[in-house]
Amino acid sequence: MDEPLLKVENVAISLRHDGRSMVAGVSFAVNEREVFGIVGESGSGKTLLTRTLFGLHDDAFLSRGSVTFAGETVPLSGYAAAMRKRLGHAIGFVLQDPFSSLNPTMRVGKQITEAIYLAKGWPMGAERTKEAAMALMSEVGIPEPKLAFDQFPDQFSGGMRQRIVFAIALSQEPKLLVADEPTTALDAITQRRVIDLILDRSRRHKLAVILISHNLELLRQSVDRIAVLYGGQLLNIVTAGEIGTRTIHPYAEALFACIPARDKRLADVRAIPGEPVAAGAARIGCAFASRCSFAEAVCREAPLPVNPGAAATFSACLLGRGVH
Amino acid sequence: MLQAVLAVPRAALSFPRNGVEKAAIVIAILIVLLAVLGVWLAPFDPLKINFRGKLEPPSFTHLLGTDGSGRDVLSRLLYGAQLTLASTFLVLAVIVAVGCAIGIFSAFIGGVVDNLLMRLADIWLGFPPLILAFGFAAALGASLQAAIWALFFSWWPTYARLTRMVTVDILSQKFMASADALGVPVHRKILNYVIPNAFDVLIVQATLDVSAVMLAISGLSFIGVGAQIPTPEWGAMIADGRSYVANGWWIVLAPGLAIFLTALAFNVIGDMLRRELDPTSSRRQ
Repeated sequence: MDEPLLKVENVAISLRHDGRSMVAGVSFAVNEREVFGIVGESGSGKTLLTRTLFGLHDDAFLSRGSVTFAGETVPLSGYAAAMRKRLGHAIGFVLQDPFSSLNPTMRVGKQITEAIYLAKGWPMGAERTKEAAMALMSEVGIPEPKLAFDQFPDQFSGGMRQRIVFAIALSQEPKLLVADEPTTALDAITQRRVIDLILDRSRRHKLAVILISHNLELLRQSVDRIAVLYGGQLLNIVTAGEIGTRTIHPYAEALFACIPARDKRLADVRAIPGEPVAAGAARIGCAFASRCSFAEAVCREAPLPVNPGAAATFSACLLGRGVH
Repeated sequence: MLQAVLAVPRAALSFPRNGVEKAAIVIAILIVLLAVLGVWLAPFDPLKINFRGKLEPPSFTHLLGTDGSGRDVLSRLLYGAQLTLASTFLVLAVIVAVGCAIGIFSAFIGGVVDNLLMRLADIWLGFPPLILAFGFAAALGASLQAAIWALFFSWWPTYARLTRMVTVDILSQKFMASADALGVPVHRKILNYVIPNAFDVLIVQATLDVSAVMLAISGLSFIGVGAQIPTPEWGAMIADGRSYVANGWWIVLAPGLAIFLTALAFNVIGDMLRRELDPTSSRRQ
């Protein structure tokens, strides 16, 4: 098999101000063209993990592990700076909330041409760059790109702004696009459209995508594989097809059972009993042990297994559930 | 940046809510025009002494009369417009430029340097401009230059602190994180992100400060620390005409009214800009 585009092995993330470890033992790999989902409840550490992984978190750092991107291992010392050098051309990162991620004083067209300039300079001249930007705007579904080019962000709706955000990220032609909750602020139909846009682009341009979301259904329908985070631990990596068809990690199982569906009555949607634990509490054993219906003594005592060699699928269950 | 600058004349047409604001804009434009063209419009040499024609009341030859040494008040007023406004805008331009540079630098660098710079600004703010002006007058000799230096030294911290505050706020916005994700280098962040987003706040403060700086320059000249008699500076003209109030009221009235109108016009414009541009202003809508 080809080398994966991004390989994250046994990574731990600590807070800068007190050195507390928030996320530990995370291993996964993302292949070229693959759409990889990261799911987890609020506070599970998914945003912390991805932001730190791509050098965008000022208050946390990578304290352990190794990260390889496009065949190059990024050293742990000076990690954030080294990773930031890859942002803006090799890696695109789209943040939550389209309402505030655009510069309010710059015309949207200029924001796209500016992004192209930052990634590549002006190899095709300003005029051609402008045309490329407008072509991209129509590709992401902005009506009348000629008109939109000279407008300011506040003249667009949330969905349109998110499209512009993606147009900006895609204009730099990254190999990997990381989207942190790209659809949270949008209505259901717009969510679907924005996700389809990313998937379409991924298929046609060999783009690998990491999609972070807590929208389980959207993720299940869109991605190839899903990593499940809980309490700062990576509990499970499953292919989208495995969900609902075979045994997976008890937490992932419980999580996906929460998805409401047309043929389910509300009473059938089982909430997981208990409160979610926050990432970061120093713990031995499985973070989910306190809420798991299968939990045994070993779950609270044994160290959690780490995905060896960042394998394609993985279950951290100490009872072996979902391991295959 | 250019867009932000171009927005100003466009805004000037759409912002005024009432006659006072429209009048203020017209007066401000007129005063600036007179200051620029005054040298050519002035009918007489502003420094030419003519003792035989001193203290003449306004007439068709001398529209605003003559002063105690027979100099034409209108000519002095027009030359003074240039001198007063030029030094006002010079002071303002320099304090805005220096203050903004220090403020942006301070906000970007953060930490100890940020703290040191801001405490330094606090200390400078503690000096009353008047005392500083006396100090400069003592060191450089009382002159317009001394007044300008004094104002520069006592005024830059206001802009440094304001710009730093606004920049820190901008840096914490989501779109700055997005800029990081796009790989925007620091100089482009300052040019394309910080300055355009800080522009509103700064233009309001600068407009309000036009009158404040002008009053300070004229005030310092009036008490004799700034421009010296017979320099046709408005403050100095009032100082000069002071002793003739009883038999030559027009000598102080002309520059006094000029100062009053200019200060008022720029204050009204500043307040209008604040209402229109400052999102925290409660008078909006």
